[in-house]
Amino acid sequence: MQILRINMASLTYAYETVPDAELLLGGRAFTSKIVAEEVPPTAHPLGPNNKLVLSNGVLTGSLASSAERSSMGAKSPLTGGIKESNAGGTAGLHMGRLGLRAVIFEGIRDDFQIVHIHKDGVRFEAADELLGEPISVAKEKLFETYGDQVSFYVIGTAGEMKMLSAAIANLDKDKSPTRFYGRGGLGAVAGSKGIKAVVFDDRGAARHKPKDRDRFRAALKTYSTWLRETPGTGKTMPELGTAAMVKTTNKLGALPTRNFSTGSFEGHESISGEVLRETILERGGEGNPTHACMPGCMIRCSNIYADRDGKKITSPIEYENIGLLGSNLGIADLDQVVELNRLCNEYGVDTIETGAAIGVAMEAGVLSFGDFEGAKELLEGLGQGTPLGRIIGSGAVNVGKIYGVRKVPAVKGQAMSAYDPRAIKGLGVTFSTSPQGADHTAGQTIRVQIDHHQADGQVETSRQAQITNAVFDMLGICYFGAQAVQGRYDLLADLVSGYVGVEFTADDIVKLAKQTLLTEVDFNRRAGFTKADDRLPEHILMEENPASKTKFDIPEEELDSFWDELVV
Amino acid sequence: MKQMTVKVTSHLFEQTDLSGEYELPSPLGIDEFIDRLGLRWDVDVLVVVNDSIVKKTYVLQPGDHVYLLTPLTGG
Ligand code: SF4
Repeated sequence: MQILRINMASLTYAYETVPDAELLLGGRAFTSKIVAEEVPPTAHPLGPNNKLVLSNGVLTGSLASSAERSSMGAKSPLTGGIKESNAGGTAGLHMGRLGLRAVIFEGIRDDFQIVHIHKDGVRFEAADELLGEPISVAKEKLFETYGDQVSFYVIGTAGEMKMLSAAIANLDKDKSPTRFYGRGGLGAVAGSKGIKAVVFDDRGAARHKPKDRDRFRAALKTYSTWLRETPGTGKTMPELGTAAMVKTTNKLGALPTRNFSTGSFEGHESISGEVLRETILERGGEGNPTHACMPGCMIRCSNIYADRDGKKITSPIEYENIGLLGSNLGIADLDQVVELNRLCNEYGVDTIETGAAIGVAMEAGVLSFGDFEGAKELLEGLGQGTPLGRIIGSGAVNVGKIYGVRKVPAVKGQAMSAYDPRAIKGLGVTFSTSPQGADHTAGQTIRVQIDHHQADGQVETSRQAQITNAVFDMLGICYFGAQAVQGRYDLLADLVSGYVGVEFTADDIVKLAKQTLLTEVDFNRRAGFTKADDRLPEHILMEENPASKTKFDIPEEELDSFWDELVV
Repeated sequence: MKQMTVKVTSHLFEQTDLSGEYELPSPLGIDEFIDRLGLRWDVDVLVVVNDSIVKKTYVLQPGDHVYLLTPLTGG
């Protein structure tokens, strides 16, 4: 297994070998370690001292179900803190086939390059032809040049313009460039380094096999059975996708509605998972309610949404996008939500940050809640880089500052995902304390059968969830599998040991996950974060959520001591 | 034995037919009721009574509205 270091200023590269003892350092554990050790905490995120780190999870490439994820890490231009963002798709799989655990990008440049990584090394080619194009067009051009057997990471026009909500896309298993490393503006970091695309061309590379095949296979069999037999992963997600959450969060008063002003939306039925599924089935054609983003995923939470003529519009339509681009904007029409989602995908921006930014613009009166045409125009402006488009592309906090709006649903500069923290208080703790800024994938608590409206037990629930998410993020397994694994990490240790051929225990895995969290917290402290950054927005703390009739009442002391209580 | 009526709204995929009014003996624990519906506590369902997620020890009250929600590590 190797690490590739690429200097984008000099267009040079070098390989390093990963020592056996460090084979557990994958995904988020790797990206956060490198960022913490090699990026000065006070570095400008778009400057020469920041690094963009891509790392596969430990199991990425193994073809275990849902385990082909990879992570991107850097100092975030959106939060100013450490960032890790991960996604499914196929780029990680192809990178792994080239024998690479990770690629570290250093330096900056003003022009844009395509970084073509193949079995014999790296080539740099001018990316001029791809610039200014929607991501779907850039994809076709990349296929024309490199053939359609490659996979790649690519940024959109938002990344070229270094917008703070810019994301990085990669291909799903059907070659659609719609799996995103969405959060934290990492597309802008790629843009600052002049990286338009990173192509993984694994033609001629040797195939990777598990080092201890029998052990790996035995563990895989049990893991697959768990995924099949757990209702969430075996039935609900394949049928309804993550959109199955709409009715749950709406009932709990947690579905963000009109800039997080309340937690249930009168139009939620028409943007629910059930209606999404029926619509896709009714229209037929290229649509599909059950779709895997990567080869071998049994959960298949993804979907393909088609228009009335059965022609594909985009993929996937997820709960977060429905929450932020639908109810949060007062939009109850699925086709309209999908169109906004498509535009975000084409320009390469985080749907969560962008939905929240438009919500703040609606709060400011720039346009009205429910104004789909207005929202679409803002997004088109974002793609073209108009002044207003750039404001939207700079994230919810900046929109609030520019328009004098104090009600901005963000923590550490990053917009909350689609859960009102006053109704799902464990997620409120995660949003407050996570070194990643407000993000549900940093510590999802909604699955727990706990009274989400009460303060009791939420701090510990969030702490455990943050550890769980860090475990999955380092192994490269989609955290949707966590509901089937249920903390039985001995099996994951078996999978890992069987795959890499080095003995690692469940304890080793959990310990490294905890260390990763503390490394991230420490980076942020060195970057100047204080306890004041571990707070929800003031208006969320002061006002009751009218739908759940609850306020966020976790004692501040408990938030302050959150990380002190994490024992490695 | 005393009887009570509780209302059920099911959002479970392909099991919305569990919705309706149920005549039940009183007292009855929520865990037993969930069991009678053929569902496994904390595996097949996330249970809300009226507006709150309840613990397994909750005892149903006449007029309660039980919501059967999809348990997902989702989003
Ligand atoms: S569960 Fe969904 S997001 Fe996760 S790997 Fe499978 S298809 Fe991709």
